[in-house]
Amino acid sequence: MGNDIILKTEKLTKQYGEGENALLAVNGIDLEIRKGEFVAITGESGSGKTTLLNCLGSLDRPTSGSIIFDGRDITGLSDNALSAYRRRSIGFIFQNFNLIPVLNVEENIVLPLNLDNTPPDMEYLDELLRLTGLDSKRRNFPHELSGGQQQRVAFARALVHKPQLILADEPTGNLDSKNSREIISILKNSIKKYDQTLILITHDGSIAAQADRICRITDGVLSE
Amino acid sequence: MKHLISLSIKYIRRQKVRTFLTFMCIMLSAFILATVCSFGSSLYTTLYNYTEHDDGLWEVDVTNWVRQAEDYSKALDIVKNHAVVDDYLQSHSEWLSYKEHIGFFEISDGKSSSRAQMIISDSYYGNKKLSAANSPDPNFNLDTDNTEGVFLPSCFKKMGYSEGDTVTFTITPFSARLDEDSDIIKQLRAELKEKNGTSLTPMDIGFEHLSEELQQKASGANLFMSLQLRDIDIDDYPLTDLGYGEPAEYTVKIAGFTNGMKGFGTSYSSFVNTKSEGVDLEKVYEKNHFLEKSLSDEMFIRVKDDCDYEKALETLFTDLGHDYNTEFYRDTFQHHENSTLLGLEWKSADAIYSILPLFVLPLLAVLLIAWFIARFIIDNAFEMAVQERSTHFAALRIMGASKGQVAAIVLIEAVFYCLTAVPLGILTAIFICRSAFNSFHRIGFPLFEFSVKGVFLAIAAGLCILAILVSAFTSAMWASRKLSPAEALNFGKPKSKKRRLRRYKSKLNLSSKRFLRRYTRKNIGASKSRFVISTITMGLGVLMFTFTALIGTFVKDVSGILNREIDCDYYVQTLYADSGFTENADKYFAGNDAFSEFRINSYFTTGITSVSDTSEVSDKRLSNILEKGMSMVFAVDEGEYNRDYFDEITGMSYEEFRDSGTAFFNISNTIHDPDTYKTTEVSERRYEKFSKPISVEGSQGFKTDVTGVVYSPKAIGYALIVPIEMADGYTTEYDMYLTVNGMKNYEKANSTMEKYIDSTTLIQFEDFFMAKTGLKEFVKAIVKIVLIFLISIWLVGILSMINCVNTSVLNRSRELMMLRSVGMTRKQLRKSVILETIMFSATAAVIGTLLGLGLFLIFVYLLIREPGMLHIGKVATVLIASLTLNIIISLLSAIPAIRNLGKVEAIAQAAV
Repeated sequence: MGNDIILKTEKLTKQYGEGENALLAVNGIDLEIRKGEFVAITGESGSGKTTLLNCLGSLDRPTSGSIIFDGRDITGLSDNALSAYRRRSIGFIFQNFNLIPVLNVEENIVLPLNLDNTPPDMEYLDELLRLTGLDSKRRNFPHELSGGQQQRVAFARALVHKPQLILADEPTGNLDSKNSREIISILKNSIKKYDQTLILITHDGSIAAQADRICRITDGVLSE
Repeated sequence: MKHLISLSIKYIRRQKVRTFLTFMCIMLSAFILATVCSFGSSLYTTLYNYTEHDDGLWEVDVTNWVRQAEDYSKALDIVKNHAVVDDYLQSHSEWLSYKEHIGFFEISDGKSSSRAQMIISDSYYGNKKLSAANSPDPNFNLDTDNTEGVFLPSCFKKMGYSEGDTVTFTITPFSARLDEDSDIIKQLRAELKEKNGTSLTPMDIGFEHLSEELQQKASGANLFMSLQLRDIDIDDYPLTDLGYGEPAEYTVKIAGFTNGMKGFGTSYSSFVNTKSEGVDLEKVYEKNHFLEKSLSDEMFIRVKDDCDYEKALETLFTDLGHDYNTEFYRDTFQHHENSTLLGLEWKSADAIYSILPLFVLPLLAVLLIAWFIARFIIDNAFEMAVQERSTHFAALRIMGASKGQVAAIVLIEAVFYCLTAVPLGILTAIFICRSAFNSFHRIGFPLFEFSVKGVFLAIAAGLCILAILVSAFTSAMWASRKLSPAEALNFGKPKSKKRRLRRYKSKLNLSSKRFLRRYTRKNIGASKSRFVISTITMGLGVLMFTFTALIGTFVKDVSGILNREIDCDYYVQTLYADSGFTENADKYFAGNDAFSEFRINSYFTTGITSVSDTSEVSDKRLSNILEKGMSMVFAVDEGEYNRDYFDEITGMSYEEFRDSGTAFFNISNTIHDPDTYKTTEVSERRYEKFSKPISVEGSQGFKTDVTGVVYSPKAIGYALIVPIEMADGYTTEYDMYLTVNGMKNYEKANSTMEKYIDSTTLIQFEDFFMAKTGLKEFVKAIVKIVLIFLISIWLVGILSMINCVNTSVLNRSRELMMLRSVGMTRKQLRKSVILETIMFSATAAVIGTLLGLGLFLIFVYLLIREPGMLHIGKVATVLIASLTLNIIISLLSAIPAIRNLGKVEAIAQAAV
């Protein structure tokens, strides 16, 4: 693998069901992503975009093939090792914010660091809160925030541990256009500043157009 | 770890409703388990108290082992000092009396004297607590351990002595005979002649020459008894021809006085020895060998707790010089055991087996049921608590939380509930159990004792904590292992790996009832395990409710039957009443408000010697009695007369009846069904009055005018009813019945009865209070306690159902919003929730009711084997009531879920 390839897949396949009910959600995908790259993945509903993302983020185990992250094959790792991989190297952002309702904004953001027993970098945390416009809301709970604010908390949570890889599944799906533009802008600034790689699933052509590379997935097969 | 603890605490603090529901479920579970254990512990202690009270603390009666030993005194010492014997009680009695002739003993201090017909000397060695608290011998309870001196007969009090005095006295046997020339003896002889046809008694010479008929008639005659009945003191007996034996002298300190005893024409003087001093009757016997001496020894022991019980008995038996293999099981070496006590102390295997069915097994069965209920409830509560947060746990897993970390969050919550809900549930149970047992005290059961032994509490707490940890662990494993983060995020519930993809033909007609039913079935099917658990929990609650309601009705009926069968709280029978009997009884009981009922009656027979015109007597059997035979006579007082409805039927008050000097026959108008224990009147109550009274004369001068025939419910057929005053002279046996006027008068009634018994002799007394009035109150108290237990189990079932339906609604918030967005109305959504509730709660209600009925039938047919006491009508009523009530409660439980529909809509709309 080249020095700057952060993520690579070889014949990655994910099958659901068996026999005549078998469904190939991801069908033999070979993919190489460089460090610092912004890759947009598009495709119709049910094409396998989310499944691919879940496999890349170790949320789902592939049926066959391999995933090599930063020179390390993660497909055969134990659950604890994968949990550590997600904690330290991946930042997830979903369409549904998935905040913990009993924690306030600051507690939600630092949750990945708490799970890793890593003390938060308070300067970086303050910067994140400023960037996402949540400075005055750090003690508020999710049900006290608007949808856009909740998504910003999710963003901040995904970035607080400075992951090498950010995986975003329709992050702007529930936001208006203004919030969408702001979120993408924050993401792009962050990946540039911290040399992070971003893989983003979107139906929005304007967002996809901002990516360094656009990949299209159809019936589980990736094409560029 | 501290972050996980912090997160768990935040969940507990900020999800108030969820925390409250889970807390209540766990607290109720702990309450149920602790209630069973507290009652079990208190019942154990109460049973122990009753055993101690009724039988004492002795474990083995080794009297026969000691008596059969070669050296009796040595054997006693061996037992007292044996290594396996923890404690012992030896009671030693010596009796002296005349063997062949009429004889007495003179007890004299040189200045005055007193007589006795028999002398007894009792000694007690060891621990008196080994004997029953209510020993029939009043002298047993004298403090022989700590008092100096000897307890002397009460005649010494009459001689002017007091406690603490030192007295020198002699005991001298003397023979004598009753002075036939004395007025009293002459009078008694005349009375005997008149009554029995002979003045002789079995103690008189020539009695054996009398005819068989006379001997039979006079068999109970006893001049000494007659003197006793006339309250003539033994010191005033008219005696003549006194022949004195050799005196034996004693000098003792007076520790106190014993109660004198009277038997059938015999009076005893008792000496009770203490540890410091004694009166040895051997001294009297040594000088007067013509006397009869009897010895009685009893030896009771307790085996040491740290010994193997069976081995200890074998060792002791062998050390007393007996062969264990050949002699231990022989009749002559029979040893009685206090089985119940041994079982409760968990000492003897045989004894433990004997109390297993009575105490241990029922308790274990109830505990097992309670544990299953608790397990289901807690399982349900944790499952709901975890499933509601499935997306949160998924988010944590995505963030990189390990399975162990996710599981730890649930387990930390479990620890919180262990430290809070469990102690609170246990404390509540202890409080309720304590007040229940204290109420038993108040209603007259002083031996009922509330006590919560550590072992029992530990069992309750342990079982509850075990249930919590098991449930929390399984829920935690589900949250961390079974739940795939991706699945949870996207669908909210885990998928089975082997699930086939089905293709449904769309039948989406939202207004159709068929859609509603399919949609409801789908929801139930999608969360099958949750609904199954909730159905089982609620079903168990309904089972317990139905079973206990049926048992309660049954017990009420049975206690009613028992109450009917038992006539009174106190029954007194005299054996040789004199003419003042009824007057004496009236002094104590007539008009005494401690008693709601007081009646006296007497049965005797009279041979009919003459009868006038019987043409008006229509009953053939009655005619036969009047013309040919013996008639039973039933003498009644006012209480008995009114109780048997004679006043209503004849129209005569008791005073009128008594003053008329007449009588009437009674024929019963009832039949009794032995299977159902019911008595039914088959004809109307009436009084067939004769136009002219029939004069009847009987043996021994009995004479009366019979005015008619009464048909009444009194179950004594063909008996002549006469006023009690007419019985005097014809009978010496009277039956007295008293009923206590409610629990509040129990102590006063008991005290009056004790005074009456002390004032009379020759009576037989039975106390039925616990089976009659006491039983009613006892049943009431038990019902209250059972009701509390019932309600808590019921609450648990309802909470479980609320939990389940509520969670089902909350978990489907998006789905419900989608249905609203495609046109489903709120009313249809509500119908769906109600239908969901009905589908599983009706199942639970029906299954629970049927199982409850099944359990009840097993109880009646197989355990107590009294199917005849079943009332089908009452059983059916209870079943219908149980079913209806539980379904109504179930429907009401859907209300919180229906209310949540509004909240769900609002949340779903906010998320769009």
